[in-house]
Amino acid sequence: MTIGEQLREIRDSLNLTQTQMCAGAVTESFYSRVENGKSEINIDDLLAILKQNHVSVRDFFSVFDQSMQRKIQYHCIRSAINNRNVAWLKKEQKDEPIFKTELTAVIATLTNKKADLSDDAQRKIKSNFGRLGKWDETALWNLASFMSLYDTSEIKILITDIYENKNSISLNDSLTLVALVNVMMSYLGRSYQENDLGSVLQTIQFIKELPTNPVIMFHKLVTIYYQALINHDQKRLDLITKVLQKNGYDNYLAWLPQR
Amino acid sequence: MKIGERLHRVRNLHGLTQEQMAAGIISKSQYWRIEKESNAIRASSLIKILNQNKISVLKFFKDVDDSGIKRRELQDLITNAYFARDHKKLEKIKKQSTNLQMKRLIDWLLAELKGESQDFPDEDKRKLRYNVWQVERWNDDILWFFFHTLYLYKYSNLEGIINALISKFTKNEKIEDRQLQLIASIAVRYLNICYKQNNRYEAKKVIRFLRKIPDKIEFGLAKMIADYYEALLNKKKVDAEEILDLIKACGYENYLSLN
Repeated sequence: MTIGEQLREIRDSLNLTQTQMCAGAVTESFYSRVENGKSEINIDDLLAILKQNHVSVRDFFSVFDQSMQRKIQYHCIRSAINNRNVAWLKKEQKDEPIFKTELTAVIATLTNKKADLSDDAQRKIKSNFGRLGKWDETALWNLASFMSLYDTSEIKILITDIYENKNSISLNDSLTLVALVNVMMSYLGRSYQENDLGSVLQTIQFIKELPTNPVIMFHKLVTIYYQALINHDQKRLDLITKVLQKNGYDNYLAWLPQR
Repeated sequence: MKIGERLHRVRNLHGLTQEQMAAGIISKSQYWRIEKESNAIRASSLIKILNQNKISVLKFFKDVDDSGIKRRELQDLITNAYFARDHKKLEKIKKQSTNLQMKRLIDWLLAELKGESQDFPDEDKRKLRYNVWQVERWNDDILWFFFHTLYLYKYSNLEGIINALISKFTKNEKIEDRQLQLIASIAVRYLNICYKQNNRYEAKKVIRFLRKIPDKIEFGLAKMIADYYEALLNKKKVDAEEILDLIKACGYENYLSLN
C-alpha cells in the first residue's frame, strides 16, 4: 500500500472527487499525480488534506504501521478465546513458547480450572495490569483471559468496578464490546460453577442490556441458554443446542454446562 | 508540534543518531535540515524512516491534533442507533458531523425508520448510491455505507454486485473479520429482499454462501438468519417460528424485519 493508494481508498469511501479532496491544500493536478504514484507529497500537505476532510490521522496511517505484527498475533488469540477454541490455543502454546505461561492461564480460564503456574509466574502476569477504573479494550481482555489467576473475592471487586464505570466504557465500539462481553462470559461460567445464582442472574441481566450489535448476538444467545438451564426449560435447551450444532459451534457447546 | 521537532523527540527517545534514522532513505544532511529547520519531508520517506527504526507510526502521530473520530467507532455508533431505532441519537450524530455525505446518509436512515422512504428526494437518493463500477476496492467503509443504502438500489442491479462480493470471498482471499462481517450483513439484507421478491433461486444461493462463512461466533447472527429463511423456503413453519423466537429473545428481530 502506498500513500497514493491509501489516499484513493479514503477518497472513495468519502465519495469525493479529487478536486474536493485536495481543495486548497495542493493543486488538483499535483494531487492527481500523487494518487497515481507519479509525485511524492510531503507530510505537512498530507496532514492538511486529512485535517480538512476530517480524516483521522490514526485511521490513515494504521495501514503503514509495522508494529501491527504483534497486534495481529494478539488478535488471533483473542479470537480463539472468543470462540472458546481451546484446541487452537493448545496448539499455539506449542508453536509459540513466548506465550506459554500466558496461554496456560488462558486455557485454565476457559476450562474453568485453576491455572497450573507458580505463584511467581502468576504475579508476573498480573503485574502487567490491574488499574481500577480504566476499562479499555486491553484491560478488559486481560481480565477475560486471566480470570483463572484470581480468586472469587478479587474478581467480584473487579466486576463491581466495571459495573460502576460502565458509562466510561466505549460500548459503541465493536471491539471493546466483544472484550467486555468476554469478561462477562468468563465470569458467568465461573459463577455458575460455584453455584452463585445471584451473580449468574446479575451477569445475564448485564449482558442483555448491552447494545444489540451483531458481534455479540451469540453471547446473548448463551445467556438465554443459561436462563433455560435455571428455569429447567428443556425444550429451549434442546432448541439452542440444535441451532449451535447445526452451525458448527460444537466448540462452544462443549464449554456450556449441561445441567 | 512540527514534524521536525517530533522526529527529534522520538529519535532521542529511542537513542538513535541522525545517521541511523536516515540511513539508506534520505541523506544525513537532508535529515538534519528536516529536524533543525523543519524542511518538508516526503510522507513516504517519513514512513520508511519510522518503520526501518522500528518506531510505531501510530505512536509517532499519537497526539497530533486529530479532528477525525475513528471511522469504525462512528460507523458502529450509527449502526447501533439505527437498529435500536434511536431517532434522537441519530439526530445528535448528524449535528456533530461535518461530512455532507454522512449527514445525507443519516437523513436516509431516519426516513427509513419513520417509514418515509418514498418521500425521500430522488436527487439525494442518487447521491447516496455508489457508481459501483467505478469503485476501485470494496473496503470496509464502502461496504458499511453500501449496507446502509442497500434499499436504494434497483433490485436488478443488486444481483450483479452482491454476486461479485460473494465470489470475492469464495476466491479464498484472506479477508479480515470485520470485512466478512459486513459482507455477511449485506448478504442477510439481500436475502430479505430476495425472499420478498419471491426469488427462491437467488435466496438459496445466498443461504449457501452464508453457510460457507467460517464457524466463528462473530457470524452467529447471520447463520441463524440463514437458518430462518431456509426453514421458510422449505415451508417448515414451526422450525421457522422457533428460530424467530430465539432471535427475538436475544433482541435482534430488527435485523430481520427492517425494510
